[in-house]
Amino acid sequence: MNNFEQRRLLLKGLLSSSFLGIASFLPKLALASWPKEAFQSKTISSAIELLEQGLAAEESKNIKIKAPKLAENGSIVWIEISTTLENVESISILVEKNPTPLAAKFVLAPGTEAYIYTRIKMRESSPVIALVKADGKLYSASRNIKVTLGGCGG
Amino acid sequence: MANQNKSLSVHSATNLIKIKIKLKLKEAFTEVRTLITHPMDTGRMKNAGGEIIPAHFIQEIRIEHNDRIVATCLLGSPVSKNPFLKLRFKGGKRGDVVRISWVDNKGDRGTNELAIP
Amino acid sequence: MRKPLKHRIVLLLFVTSTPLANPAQDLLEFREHFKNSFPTLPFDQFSNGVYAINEDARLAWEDIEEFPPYEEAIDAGKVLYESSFSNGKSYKDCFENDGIAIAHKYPYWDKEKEQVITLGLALNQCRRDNGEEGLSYKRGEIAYLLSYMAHTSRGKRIAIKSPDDHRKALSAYNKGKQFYYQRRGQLNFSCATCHVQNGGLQIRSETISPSLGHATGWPVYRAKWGEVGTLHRRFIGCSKQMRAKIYDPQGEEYRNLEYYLTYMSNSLPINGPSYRK
Repeated sequence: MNNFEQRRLLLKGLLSSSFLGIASFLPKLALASWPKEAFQSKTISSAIELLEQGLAAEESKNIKIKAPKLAENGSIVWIEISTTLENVESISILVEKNPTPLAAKFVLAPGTEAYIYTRIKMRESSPVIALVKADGKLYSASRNIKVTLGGCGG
Repeated sequence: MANQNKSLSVHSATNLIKIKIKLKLKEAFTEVRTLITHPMDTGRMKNAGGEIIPAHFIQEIRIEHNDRIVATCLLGSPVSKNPFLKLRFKGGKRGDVVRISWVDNKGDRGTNELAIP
Repeated sequence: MRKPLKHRIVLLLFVTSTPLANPAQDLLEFREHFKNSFPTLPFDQFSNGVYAINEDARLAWEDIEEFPPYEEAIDAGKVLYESSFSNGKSYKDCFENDGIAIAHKYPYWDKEKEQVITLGLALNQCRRDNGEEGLSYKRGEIAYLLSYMAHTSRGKRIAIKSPDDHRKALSAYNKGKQFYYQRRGQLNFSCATCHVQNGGLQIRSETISPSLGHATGWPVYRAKWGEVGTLHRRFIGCSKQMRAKIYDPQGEEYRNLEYYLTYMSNSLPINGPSYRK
């Protein structure tokens, strides 16, 4: 194969992979819809209602929420949620005292561990709710997270 | 010209939305750690001049393993600036590709990928 | 936390010692005080401030360090440092060793200019000497440049020459020291009130960081700022919170203060740029 042919093959390969990349990216993203009303809800109950189409959540001891004992800065509060419930479809995080409580919903495919870790904004100390959808049913757990007022450090 | 390039480089270093990825292959799962340098503005804060900073936040992060979606993360503005996620999926092996893509409320998007070491 | 009587006496002597005390002696007493306050904390750990003494905060910090938020500042600083001024020269022409691994030697007393030279000041002096405008001293490009230069000194131990090698250097050092221990403002606190006498304690749910180690991590990506900022920016911010008078960033008062503070952190490893809440 001479240089010209090699370059053509390389270019073709690059083009096709990037085209495939874009092609496979766009249509899938058009399908996934962002639950606008749930994210804009001002109360936990309405957010959950809209997010999970009226399903009632049952408290579960099988959901573990880990968070700092005292968050130094309310704009970056780490939170780790895991559960031993089986066939988990999604894990959502809601902050009761935030202006809009719903922070995130993680939709997990089969084979993905029922585990998430992220950082959220908390306006003030507040209960934080973990919502787990498993086997078509809804479960919840709550944990109170304290946020420092800022004191001397500001 | 040199000054423009420099300003551009500095600006891009400090303003570009980047996807950082770390992958750890463990016995039971592959752990994905990712951070995307996005402002996640809620639309409720004001700047120094007293004007509202418009809402600008990632709405979806998609994580794929060898072209299969393992997680779709729907985010709201209460997620912290420079969103950081840790997730774990089964069935990964060395050389597999993990791809991370994001879309924000302005319709901007980005993607990056890394092979499992 | 109750302090033992012997400890309190040492502190009293330290604070009321004559203005022309020996800096080397000051340093020994300073370290002794913090060793007594934190008997199990290894010396080097003081560079990590609150994160060395508050386990909960440390966990959050370690997770943040997974993808350090000041990385971009270091990259931007490198680009800035290596680019030329309009006259064709660059920062490399102003600093020894191309500016690599020199940050831990700042500040120092300049005999000719008869002033404390901090790295921030030196950068702007370099700019002005080459026909460029000075940069603002609190944030932005100066903070990126300082991030880059601090990063190249990471791990190196602070090595400030003892201020007693020159009479005027000693005077500047003493001014910085007096500033640190002087009560000021509405709250009538001195820097020492919180950071020497009450380092490690909690005030309004905040853990106060000890002075020992305060100079090692600059510039800092403060979560509150959402960006990297300089030590002088923090002097100003803290003074405002204490309702005390603020001075010019890189003005004589704050440079003398930085001189004293950095000498007190001598031999601690540089870990700038760093993250703090």
